[in-house]
Amino acid sequence: MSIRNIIRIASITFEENYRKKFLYILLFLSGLLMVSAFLFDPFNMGQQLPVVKDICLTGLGFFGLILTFALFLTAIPNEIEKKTIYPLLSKPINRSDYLWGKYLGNMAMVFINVFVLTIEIIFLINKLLPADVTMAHRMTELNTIFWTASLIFVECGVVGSIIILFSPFMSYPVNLVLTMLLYITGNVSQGYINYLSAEKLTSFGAGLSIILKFILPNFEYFHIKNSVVHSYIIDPKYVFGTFTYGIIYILIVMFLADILFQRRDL
Amino acid sequence: MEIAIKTENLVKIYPGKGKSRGKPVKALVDLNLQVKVGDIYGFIGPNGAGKTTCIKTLMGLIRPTSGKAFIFDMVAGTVEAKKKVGYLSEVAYYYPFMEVGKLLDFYCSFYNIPRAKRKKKITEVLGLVKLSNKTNARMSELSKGMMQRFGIAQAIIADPPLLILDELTSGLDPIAQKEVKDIILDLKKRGKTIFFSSHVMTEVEKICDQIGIINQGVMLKSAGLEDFLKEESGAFTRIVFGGKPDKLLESFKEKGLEIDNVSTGIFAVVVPDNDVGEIIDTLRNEKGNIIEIKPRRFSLEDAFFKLVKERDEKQQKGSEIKEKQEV
Ligand SMILES: Nc1ncnc2c1ncn2[C@@H]1O[C@H](COP(=O)(O)OP(=O)(O)O)[C@@H](O)[C@H]1O
Ligand SMILES: [Mg+2]
Repeated sequence: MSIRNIIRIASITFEENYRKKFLYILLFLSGLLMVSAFLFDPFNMGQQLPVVKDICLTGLGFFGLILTFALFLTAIPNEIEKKTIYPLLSKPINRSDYLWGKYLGNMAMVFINVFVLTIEIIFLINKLLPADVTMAHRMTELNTIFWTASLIFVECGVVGSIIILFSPFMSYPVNLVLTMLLYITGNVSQGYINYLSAEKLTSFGAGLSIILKFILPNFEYFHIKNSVVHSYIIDPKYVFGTFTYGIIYILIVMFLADILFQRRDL
Repeated sequence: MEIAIKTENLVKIYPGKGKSRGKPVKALVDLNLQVKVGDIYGFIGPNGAGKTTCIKTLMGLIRPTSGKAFIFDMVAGTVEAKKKVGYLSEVAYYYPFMEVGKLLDFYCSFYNIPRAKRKKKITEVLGLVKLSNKTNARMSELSKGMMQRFGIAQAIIADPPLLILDELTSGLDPIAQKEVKDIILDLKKRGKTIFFSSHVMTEVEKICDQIGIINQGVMLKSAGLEDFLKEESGAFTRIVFGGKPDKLLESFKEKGLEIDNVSTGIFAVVVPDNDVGEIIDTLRNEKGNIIEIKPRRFSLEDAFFKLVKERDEKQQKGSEIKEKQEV
């Protein structure tokens, strides 16, 4: 692997992406949603702060996922189908460079979009905080918004890597459905799996549930929005731990994706 | 004698899916190929013969089922081997949003050439393929011929000693074909080894030093160009004539000549060179109009059809023998 090659491929991927108009529309609409929540105080019950926080952070998570799907689903299949991959892979590069370049180039786009919206949210929440709160309190509030956004970003990274894993072998509708299923399972199943292993139905069932627990991405970990909305105290260690969990998960999935992609006839 | 490309019993079997309705496709059967340094090698065969499959194996884009492929004694498809090869794919598309010069710079950057040197190279290569005035044009603005020339440009951008060009001239008009041919000759002068494939036998094959003919994954013959052309060249002459030919046709038929009806009232015969005088005399006596007399050169197309026919006959004999043995 060569870091320089990865950066070059990531740059051209990014260059291709920033010409996609739908990205700007998506970004604009999400931004608009957040601002309108701020302006119109939809429930008008003196509960504006948590309501706006909720709408903004839910919107951010949703936006991040849509963006990730939109960018990653077509990233590699399009290049294979349109044959732009041939002149590139015939240059002295490894397929791993290509895979990582594509991944990071798209993640850079996700990063910028999530970043822009996060700044907007921080700005809005800052305005909504009562003028008389202490500086320390204000910083904590804004910090938690930042943490939530970081975890949303890492979650997008995990979803992106899973799409990359599947994409050389599946048409994108199939990939979409499969990744969505994994996402949903990863969201709801942990409690269920814990229950299964607690019940110790059979040793087989217990074994299976432990395996599932390790294999399936636990997307629940990334969702700290509810605590943030209600201004509960959040342990930075938890945020850091979850962040690391996400990064390790991405590395493992990309490692597998690389093994599979090396064998693919183009 | 240095060898640029070598394959050893290369086999590729595509698992049957979609197109072939379940049956595996044997695209390459024990292919042995050798290309000498400094040669222009034409890899000729009809659609589906296995040319692209062979070339993609050489570039590491697909894995052979068995057998080996080497580029300058390095395993084909490795980063080291790819440093020595410029490749033009059969269906070539490039990022349409990029500018011509910038895209070349992008491809060139993978060879770790310093920026200043890259700039010089790009100017030089774009001049060579006659795209200098398109440096700042978007890729999407190029015509098909220009796109093919860009394809050559991106293949030679880092000055590799070997070029592998798939369907080099297919789909180009005669003028564009001529342009490409000139570029190839120019590159040969610069000491490049050139390996190209083609499914149509055009004028371009005349510039080859070596030609390989492949059909159904099997190399039928690989030899020097003269070897292909000398076989029967000049042995026959084609005479085109008109006039009131009833009697003529009869006498020619008696001689056992095959008569080609070119258009209404115009006919052609192909005769051994030795008989030309006699035929012309007959034509004069019978007041026929001689329209054209031309030596008929044995073309690559003839060579190809002959080879395929020979092979089919061999196979038939083979299966007959088998049948007899079984009986
Ligand atoms: N990806 C593929 N899957 C299955 N069969 C293939 C694939 N690519 C090529 N083939 C088959 O392999 C044979 C050789 O194809 P190809 O190498 O493209 O020939 P050529 O380049 O000489 O026209 C053909 O019968 C073709 O249909
Ligand atoms: Mg082909």
